[in-house]
Amino acid sequence: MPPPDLLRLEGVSAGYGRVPALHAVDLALGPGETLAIIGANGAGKSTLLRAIMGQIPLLGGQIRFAGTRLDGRATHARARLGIGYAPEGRQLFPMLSVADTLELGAAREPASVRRARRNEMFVIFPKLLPLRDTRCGLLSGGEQQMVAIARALMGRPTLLVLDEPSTGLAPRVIAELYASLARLLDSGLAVLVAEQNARAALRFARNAVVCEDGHLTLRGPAKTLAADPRVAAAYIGMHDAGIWSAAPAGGASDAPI
Amino acid sequence: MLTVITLALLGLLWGGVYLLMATGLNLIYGVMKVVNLAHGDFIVLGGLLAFSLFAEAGLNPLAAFPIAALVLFGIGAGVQFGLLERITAAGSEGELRSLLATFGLSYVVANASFLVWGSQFQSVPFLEGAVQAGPIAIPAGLLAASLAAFAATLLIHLWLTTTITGKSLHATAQSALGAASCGIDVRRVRLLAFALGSAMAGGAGALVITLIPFQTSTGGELTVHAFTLIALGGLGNYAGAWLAAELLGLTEVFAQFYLGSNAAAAVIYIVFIAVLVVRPQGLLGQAGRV
Ligand SMILES: Nc1ncnc2c1ncn2[C@@H]1O[C@H](COP(=O)(O)OP(=O)(O)O)[C@@H](O)[C@H]1O
Ligand SMILES: [Mg+2]
Repeated sequence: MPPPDLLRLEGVSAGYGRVPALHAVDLALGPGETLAIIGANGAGKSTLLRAIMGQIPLLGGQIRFAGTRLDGRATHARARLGIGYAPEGRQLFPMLSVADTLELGAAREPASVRRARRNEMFVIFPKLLPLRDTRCGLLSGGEQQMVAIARALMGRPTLLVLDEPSTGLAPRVIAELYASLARLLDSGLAVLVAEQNARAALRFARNAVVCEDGHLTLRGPAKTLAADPRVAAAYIGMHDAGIWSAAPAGGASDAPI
Repeated sequence: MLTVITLALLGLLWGGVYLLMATGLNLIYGVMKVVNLAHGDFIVLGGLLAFSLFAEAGLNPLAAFPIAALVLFGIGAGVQFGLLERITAAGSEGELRSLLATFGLSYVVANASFLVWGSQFQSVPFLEGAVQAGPIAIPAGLLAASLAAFAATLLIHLWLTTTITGKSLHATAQSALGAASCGIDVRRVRLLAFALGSAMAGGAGALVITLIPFQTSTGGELTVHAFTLIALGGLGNYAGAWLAAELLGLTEVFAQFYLGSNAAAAVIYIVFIAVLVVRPQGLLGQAGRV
């Protein structure tokens, strides 16, 4: 018997005002699984994650997390249920130090627990240790993304939701970031990651879905999708696609990266 | 020379009082991006409460301070919960509507106070003598009020910067979405911020009424005063507010002495306009913001 779903979306429509930007989306994720949502800019990836986090109301359908219906719960209540969220644009506290920011990720725990978990984060992301007293606003993009992920991990989530963690980062930094994420998976953490820049996400995640105009149009194992000519052309780019053994040759010369 | 030193001391002491009057407004602005236009009316209400506590129960203003603060804490919480939290429009439209709501609130508070206390000026006598430091004499009441004001703002500042709850206020101010992602109930934080800011207005009123007589219509003037101060300091900037409070205290005391009280009253408005025209980002600009 497969494990029960950690996250399940059924017929979820959501948007801004009365216009849906997401149409009847079905999605399921089990404990410890990894899923990449890839799609072009404006496809609706962030909207999907915002609907999961309760940043926008549903226009239809329902979302369950660990068996609980999420309807009507505010974002902070969903975080407390065990969803760690690193939103688009990172949403750090620019004037607060790295250490304070991390502690805020476990704001409701006693000081001793906050400190212990913060120190665990410095083990997972050793680069943050010398920056503990630095204001988040002064960090590089890669460091900021590490803080955003570490902050999301401070609440001991069972699901990590990441919105475009690689935006603005150099390829080497992206690789480093995903390597850190991969090491976290041993603990049974499930990860849902939305990326426009699909290469690293498809290599990291076991499964993937393609989001187009608010619809999930393709789904399957990440390796299969990465090798799919349609995906390679549209979301990986011809140049990058070359790294995949099964990547198609030719075509898509005008493909966006 | 002695006069100048005395005036400088007086100015610095007044700065402490101004700082307390403005810190609550600054806190609320920092967290919610709303200038509470009823802030001055809250100060007056706190002062008139202290007046009644003195007149009816003989309570001295330092004892009335926590009571006025507590009452205004409750009123602030009620206003945030019943009024401001219901304004759901986002961005600048939400800010404008909130501003208008506090504008209306200022009339409600002033008129309700008028029904209770009437229109006459009230004050509370407190430590009428002077403290002599060598050749310099400082009014004891001003000294006590100023020290209490410094102590209160310092405590609030320490609470904001060292406790996790205080930091969650900063966090919410800097990114409400980031704070909510941490599991922080940002509605509760906003409630706390508005209630605390209002409590500081109430406490300030209990002290200030010993120095300046209050009338129920004094509120508007105090709001301008407090707003000028935080605009000068850079909205939401605590170090800047402190600097601005001292500058304003000094300016007023010197203007009063050398130009007379009418001119001194005009100085604050001139500074207000000058700030908006010349340095809308405040003395210290973006540095040190919440
Ligand atoms: N705050 C918003 N208000 C109105 N429309 C929005 C907002 N955010 C996104 N949209 C629209 O919703 C659609 C999906 O956007 P989004 O989910 O941000 O895409 P992605 O994250 O895949 O780039 C786009 O058409 C975008 O213009
Ligand atoms: Mg997006």
